[in-house]
Amino acid sequence: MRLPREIISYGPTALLLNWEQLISPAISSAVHRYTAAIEQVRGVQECIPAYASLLVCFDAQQITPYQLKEIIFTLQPEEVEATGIRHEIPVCYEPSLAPDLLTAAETLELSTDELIGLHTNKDYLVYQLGYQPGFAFLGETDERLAIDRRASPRRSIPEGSVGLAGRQTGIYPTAGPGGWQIIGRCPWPMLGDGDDWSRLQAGDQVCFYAIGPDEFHQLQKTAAPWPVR
Amino acid sequence: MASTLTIQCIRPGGGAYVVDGGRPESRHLGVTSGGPADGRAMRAANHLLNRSATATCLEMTLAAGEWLLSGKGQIAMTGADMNWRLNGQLIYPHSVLYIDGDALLTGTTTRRGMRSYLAIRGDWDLPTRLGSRETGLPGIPAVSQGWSARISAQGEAPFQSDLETNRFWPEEVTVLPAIPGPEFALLSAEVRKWLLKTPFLVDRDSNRQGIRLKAGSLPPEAIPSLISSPVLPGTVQLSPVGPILLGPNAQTVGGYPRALLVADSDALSAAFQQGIDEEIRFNLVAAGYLSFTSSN
Repeated sequence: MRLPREIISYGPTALLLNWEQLISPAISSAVHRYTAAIEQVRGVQECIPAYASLLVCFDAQQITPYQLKEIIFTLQPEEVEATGIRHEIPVCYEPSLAPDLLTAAETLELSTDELIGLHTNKDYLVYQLGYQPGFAFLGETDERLAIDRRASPRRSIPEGSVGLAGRQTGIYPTAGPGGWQIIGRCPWPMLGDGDDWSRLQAGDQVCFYAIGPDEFHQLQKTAAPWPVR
Repeated sequence: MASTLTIQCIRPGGGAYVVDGGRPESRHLGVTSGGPADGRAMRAANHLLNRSATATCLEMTLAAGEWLLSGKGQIAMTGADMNWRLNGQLIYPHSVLYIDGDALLTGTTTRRGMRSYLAIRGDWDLPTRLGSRETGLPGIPAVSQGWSARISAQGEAPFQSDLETNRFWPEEVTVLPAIPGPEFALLSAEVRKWLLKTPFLVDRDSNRQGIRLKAGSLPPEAIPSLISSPVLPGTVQLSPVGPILLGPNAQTVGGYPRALLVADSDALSAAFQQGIDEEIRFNLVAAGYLSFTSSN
């Protein structure tokens, strides 16, 4: 398992673990195993995983940064079971719900069927959450889907929009501004009401499957299954 | 029968937000920490009404707006001087007022400071998400025209004699004590010197996400972007066009170098009271100097 290359203080109540600064499944797996292990340490308030780093916020009344560092050095995260789960998520790639589908396909020199096929044929890792509440950065897409963000971000795109940017893909959990190329829309809500508030969490796996517009509207009206962790 | 007080927004002014202790332990979900931009002023408002430091308040930015208070209860106002008036009568800052009936709370564009805080004694009947009533998540209505909240009043607050009100006025010049951020050492000597010697001015694009700072010059060297990594409120990110002092609604991850961290909560409160084109400087201090309180 890949080990962090440094542990540094980030202010008086947080430590930052840095791995090699690469976007890679091996590093991400290590980040999430360290997350699961460090969350169990007394005095740790929250772990925020990212692509190749992990922020550990702690209660300085309960543990010093030196004590926490010593504990992290002795952890055996490879023995911790990964907590991520796998999601199968429906996406409607109908152009009326996917304003960038046709232009993205043209830019990538693919047919829309080829684009959809490439988007739905693999599992993606949730590297991190950020940008907006519950927004999961999923990667990496097939290299044939690598595409720039839109030159001009949209002021508002609908909840559930599925986008591409670089070799990442993601689902906008709420309506809002965004610059990703929108190639589809998911009928399920990404945010819930309870403690398990975000459908997707860092370390999860996601695969997409294509649905038609009738099924999209039907699924929008019915209660969506919520993942059990 | 318990009394209640209802507050209704007639005009929200320059931007009003429901604030409380925020959601500081939900950042792993991509949810901002939240909390007041000026924790010091909100603490004072709550203290006047004998409430907990992070009890729900309204944070008003730049301009007062117009608010209708109906019922019975107590209110307190702190923070920026927006020439607040209750039924036309000037409200002295840091005073506790008793409402009985209908009262119109009005004011003007700020004369000093950027953010005012309105505390109302009692429990605010508003929806919660992830343990907070703060505006900004789905299911929590934004504070706009027509918004209202019902507060079940709790009787009269005891007199608070220990509040040094003069300490809580927005300051005019702010030199912020800062410690090195994770990428400070990676910046060139020229960039570090520029960051620590330049008198920056608050840009008008600033908000609760962050204070964008402008100077007469750009950073002396190109600023690299990084693989996105977690950021904390109080961090000074160095963007290609200048520093950004991150606030309570800062994104949870970012790709600009984290040059400095203003970890002193009172200093951060003072920074978020600086008006447009007012000055902010950074002074590098040893980490041990800072006393971080968890209330901001």
